[in-house]
Amino acid sequence: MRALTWLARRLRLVTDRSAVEREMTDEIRFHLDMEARALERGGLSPVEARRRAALAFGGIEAVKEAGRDSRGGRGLDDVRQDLRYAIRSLRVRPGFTAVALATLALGIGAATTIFSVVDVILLRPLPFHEPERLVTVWTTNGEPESEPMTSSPPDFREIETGARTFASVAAYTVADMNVGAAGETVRLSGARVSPALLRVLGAVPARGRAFAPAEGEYGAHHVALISHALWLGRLGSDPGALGRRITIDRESYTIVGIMPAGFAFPDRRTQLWVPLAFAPGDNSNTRGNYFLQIIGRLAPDASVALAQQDMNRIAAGVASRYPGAVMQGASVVALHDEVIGESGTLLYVLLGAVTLLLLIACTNIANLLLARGTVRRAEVALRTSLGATRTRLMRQLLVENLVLGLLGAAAGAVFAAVGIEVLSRIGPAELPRLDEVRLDSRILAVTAITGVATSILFGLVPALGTTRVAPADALRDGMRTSASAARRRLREALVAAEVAIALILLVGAGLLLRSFGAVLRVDPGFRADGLVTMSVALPESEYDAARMWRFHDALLERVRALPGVERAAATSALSLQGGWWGKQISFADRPEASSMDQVPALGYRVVSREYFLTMGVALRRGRDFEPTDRAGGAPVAIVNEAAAREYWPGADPIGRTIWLGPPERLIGSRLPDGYRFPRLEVVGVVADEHYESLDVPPVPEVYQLYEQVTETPSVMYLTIRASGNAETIAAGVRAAVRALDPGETVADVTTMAEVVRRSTAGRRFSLSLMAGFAAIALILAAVGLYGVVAYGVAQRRRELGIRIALGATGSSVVRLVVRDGLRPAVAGAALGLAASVLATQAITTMLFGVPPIDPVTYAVVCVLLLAVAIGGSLVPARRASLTPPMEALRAE
Amino acid sequence: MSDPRSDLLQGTLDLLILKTLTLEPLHGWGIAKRIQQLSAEVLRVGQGSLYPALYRLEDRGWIKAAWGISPEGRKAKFYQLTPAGRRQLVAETEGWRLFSGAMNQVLQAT
Repeated sequence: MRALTWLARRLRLVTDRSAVEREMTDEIRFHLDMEARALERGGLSPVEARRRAALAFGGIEAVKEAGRDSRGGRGLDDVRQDLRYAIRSLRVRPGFTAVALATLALGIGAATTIFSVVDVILLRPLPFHEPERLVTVWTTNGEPESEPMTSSPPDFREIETGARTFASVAAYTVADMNVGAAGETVRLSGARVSPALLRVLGAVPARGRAFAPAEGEYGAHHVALISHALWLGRLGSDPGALGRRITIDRESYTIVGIMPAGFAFPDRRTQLWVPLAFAPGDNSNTRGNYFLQIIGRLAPDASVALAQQDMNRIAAGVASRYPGAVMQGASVVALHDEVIGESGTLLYVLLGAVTLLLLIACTNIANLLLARGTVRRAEVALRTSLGATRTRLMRQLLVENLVLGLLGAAAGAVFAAVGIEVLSRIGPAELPRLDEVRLDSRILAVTAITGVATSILFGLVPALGTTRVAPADALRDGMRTSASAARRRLREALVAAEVAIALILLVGAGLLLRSFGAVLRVDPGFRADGLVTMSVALPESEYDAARMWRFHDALLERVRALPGVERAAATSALSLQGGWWGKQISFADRPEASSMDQVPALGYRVVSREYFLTMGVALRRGRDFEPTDRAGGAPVAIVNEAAAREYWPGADPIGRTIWLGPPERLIGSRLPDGYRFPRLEVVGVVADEHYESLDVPPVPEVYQLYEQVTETPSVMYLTIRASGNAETIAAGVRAAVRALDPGETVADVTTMAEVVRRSTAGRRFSLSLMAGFAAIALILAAVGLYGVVAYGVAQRRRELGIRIALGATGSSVVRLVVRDGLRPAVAGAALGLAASVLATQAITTMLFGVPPIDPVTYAVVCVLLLAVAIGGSLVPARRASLTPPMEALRAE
Repeated sequence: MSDPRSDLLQGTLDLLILKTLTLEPLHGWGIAKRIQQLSAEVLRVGQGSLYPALYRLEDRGWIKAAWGISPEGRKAKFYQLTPAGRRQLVAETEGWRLFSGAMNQVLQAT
């Protein structure tokens, strides 16, 4: 009860302050009246009585203030007052407040955004059961520097049965599948997986069941798991979807399970999973076909290192039993490292850049507050002399800086929320798991605390000094004390640091910009404009090579007849898209390789007629495929310039005979009796098409006319040179495909220009971020510099006034002031240059066509920074030179 | 903030206020006058300490205030003892007796 009344009273003090104040005033007035009346009764005149009464009472305001103190609830009341003061004092300096808030918002926002992304990709565990125990296994050629490769089905079976360090292990391969459901065929991304996959991942279907081990046997494999998205979308969340039949590549499958919404393996695009099973005699089920990814769950007592030893043992067994096998070694990589992949470098660079940005933002805040603290010395001194206690002043400054910091943090949170949204939308495919990134409150807290702590620290340090100053001194002129000289040096050092950091970021952005320019200048080897492309996947089960090529001949004929189409062709691999199909190569006119290691490999494409004409790939030598090159006729091949350089340096490849395979005697045991690879005559050399991406040099490649090939690629890409929009053309092509085979469709409709753009998306992304950070850093450094110079000018008004009065010209004053601004800028730039030489080592792998120590970039950045420094100093300098001397002299 | 005109020992003002309020509720001026009368004009209460002391006692819950009409017919704020205030008065009186007794003993011994 007492506590309640106490609380009610306290509450009233806060909520109904004016009433409490009014009561106090009334009470004191009543007291004075009573006193005066008593004195009047004693014989004094009314006027004299009032005067005496007032005199006896003492300072009314002092009594009131003491009354407020003793009434309690004072702390709350003061906080309210401090808040009001804080907001008022921030409002009366809109320039300072805007700059400080913008600085905090940019620093906190950018840092929170990038930290959140890095946290998800690098640190957050993968969304599987005990993800740290998941590893991937890759086939290698046994050399230490070997590129990891996918594995062949027989090699996977060796691992599946022989591994001692895995609790479970599975293989999978992704494939586009023509899925027919509800009377409509669409192409979806799917995966063929060994039945153990879900056990390896520790995942269970949300409805239905996982695959049974027996369903990995051919014939029992017509069962499918579908994604939650597919169930929601195409199947309309049909509760009876389990047990329903769908067609996948024209075969009927039964849906046995629906995966939970969050399940994404191997990536988010994957919509369905079917058992990996091979028909008897399936050619892909051999040691020469390596296309399986292997994922294993470590046994409880195993580690990555132990698993590596285990895999080495198995690979050594394979290599000794099958000397010609691709698998000569194996490498084990933790799944998380595999997922991070090459995005690691980019992320660490962004992390570094944004940390520098946060640092520069804090430095700027420090600088602004130091300057402001000095300016406020007079105000603080005045308030001290009016009786404000030091604690009270400190508390008010604290509240003020806290308000500033919190407002900045709030703005930063908004910035980060928007930034994360934008990033997850524009982020390149190289960055995995971007869709999992959310604004993380813990991270926001850390960056916000950094910002708020900076503002409090640097808001209070000058205040600490100020409140200790004897009021009279500060009021007279506190500027020319040694403390202020020290503070000026501190501010110059801070500005120099800002300039140095800005320079590092500018150099980084500059190098990335030059690299991007260099990549864009790379000739892709084909003319991208006006090219539309899409893919057609014919099921191998129904199409042998002859039928497949007949289909494509007919299709291309129809496509060429579509309105707006100039040329059309087909290819097994699209440039800049990756997706390696390699072949080994041997030469008839030189000694055969003595071992498999010495047989070179090159890229291989199967193309239609007019492919080079359609793509705009220049013929350098010899001839294109001609009508005389036919199935059953003499097989021919065309190589690219990289192949010509690599295999026939200084000689002419035209007319040479090659075959795409190793010398037969090296793998005789695996070939049918008396088998010989077809001998091909090289008839032409074409320009290099960039296969992987623009910044990877072209690799040797060989092209064969599809009619002369008996192997069938799983997918063929149409390339169509046409005027008109891609979708219209795709509609025409789709109709043509349906007319030829009603169960077929086209997918991956895009333009080659888009393919080129996509292949540079990663660079564009890192460049935009770095450039953004660098621009912000430059602006912040300029603001910091301007602040120091403007403050210096304000301090030296009298001196400058005297100089002008004594005849100094405006330009000499400008020079004097600008020199002051340049001193920290030059020092910072020198420091930044040295630091950049080290810092750019981190981004060497991201550079293209430009060395990390690129004189042009460094020079341009220095000139830019110094120009900004001069610009920033010039404004206050000109103002100083225009001050009428008398005004300047009177100012103090 | 100590008032130079207050001759009262720290803490004794609270005791005096509580004591004067044992008979009847009084307003601020009345309390000052009553203390003056009871002490035969020896103790003078400075207003600089009276009102802060009243607010402090109110905050502690020993007295409570209500607006009423003074004998002169004017609106005035009257203070009265709460039960907690009565208990406090007993305790403080006891404390004061001990203290003044001890003081006297010391002074007589000298």
